[in-house]
Amino acid sequence: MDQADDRIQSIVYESGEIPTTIDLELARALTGRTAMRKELTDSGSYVDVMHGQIGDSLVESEREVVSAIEQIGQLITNSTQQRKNIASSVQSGKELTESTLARVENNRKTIAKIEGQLQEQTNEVRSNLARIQDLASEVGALAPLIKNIAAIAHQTKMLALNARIEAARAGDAGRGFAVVANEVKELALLSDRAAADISNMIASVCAKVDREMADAQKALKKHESNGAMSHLVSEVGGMQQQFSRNSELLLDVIAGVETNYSESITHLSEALGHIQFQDVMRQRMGSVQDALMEMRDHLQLLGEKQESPSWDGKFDSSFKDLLASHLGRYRMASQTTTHLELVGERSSDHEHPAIELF
Amino acid sequence: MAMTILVVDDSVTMLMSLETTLTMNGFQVETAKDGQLALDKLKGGIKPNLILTDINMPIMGGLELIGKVRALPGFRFTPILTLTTESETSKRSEGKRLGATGWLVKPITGNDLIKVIKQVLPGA
Repeated sequence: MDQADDRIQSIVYESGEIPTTIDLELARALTGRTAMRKELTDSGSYVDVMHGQIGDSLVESEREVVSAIEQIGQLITNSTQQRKNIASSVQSGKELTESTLARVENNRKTIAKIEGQLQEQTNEVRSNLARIQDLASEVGALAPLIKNIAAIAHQTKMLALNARIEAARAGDAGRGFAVVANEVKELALLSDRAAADISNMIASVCAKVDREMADAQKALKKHESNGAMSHLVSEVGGMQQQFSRNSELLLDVIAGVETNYSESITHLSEALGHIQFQDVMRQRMGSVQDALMEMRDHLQLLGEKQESPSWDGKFDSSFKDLLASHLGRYRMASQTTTHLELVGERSSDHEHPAIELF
Repeated sequence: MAMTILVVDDSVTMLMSLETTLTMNGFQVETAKDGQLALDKLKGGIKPNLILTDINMPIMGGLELIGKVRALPGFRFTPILTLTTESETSKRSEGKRLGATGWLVKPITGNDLIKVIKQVLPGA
């Protein structure tokens, strides 16, 4: 037994009369109206819940987006700080490298100068050695002459002896000649001694020259071993090139960091631009929320009017009117387009560019 | 010295995302949640190089703000860009009449925004 049957039963019991078909239809209509009224009243809660769900979703999405932006902001702060730190470190490294490079260059010049001086000294030693060798040869060349002198002295001595023999043989007549012969003998002895002295002196000089030569050879070898200086200069030159390359590498590092940072900024700017969808969605959903409130109010009004015995069945505004009124209130072209597409119409407003400078 | 941009929007996410985008691109940023607060800041002495404003905001909207900013001494030539979901032709025309420099519709990518700002702010 449904509500309409209950209502009919109550009519029968109250009046004691058998209900007519009209009574029954009226009873059914009244029952339907009451049920409709209740449904319309209950729709208020239904719409309120939907409105609340949308509102909560918006709040939640805003909270999440705020959190995402904060994370991005933190990422940017960290990246910026890291970039500064890297740039600062690399700059310090570059300055250090350049300063070291300058010192290496000074050292290279100094070593090259020393090498030049050493080379001059070596050349001088070589030259001295050559002179000593020449001198030694010249002195050595005197030795045969000494033999000649000794031979002359010997012959002179023999000559003096012969002269004395001849002088003795001549007797008184040869006395004067004997004196000369003695003198010649003395001369021969002197020559012999002189030759011996000169020979000793030459030997002594030769020995000294040999020692000097040995020393000079040692000195020359020492100087020549300083040819390592040339290697050192070359090494320092290599270091210099390495430092130059390091300096360039550090500049490359700075440039690389800057490029990466710029690319990151570009990507993050794009990402942050996309986040604006939350505001667009907020506004679109805000419009839907307003529409839901209008729908709820309209349904409540319908319920009230249904119960009113004086209601003539007319509305101040119908759902159709309400729907049409949205067209004038949309802020976004996309809202208008969606609306018109859903009601089977086409947009008459010309599309404007997203960016327009006046 | 970094140029200053005053950003006016009632959406907290817009304010935050724009502030972050502009800051990391080398600008200083001031923010206001509606036109009245923005106007108060300008009257209080801040002198931004550019104003970037939403249109539909509570208390005072962007169009009213543009009109009032243009009436302030020293702000006749300050570039004012709108950044709004509003796409209605009449509002756009009204913005132009009141002295807006350009009309940008949300959402706009950060790089497009920076490009436009650099276009209207020589030296930025």
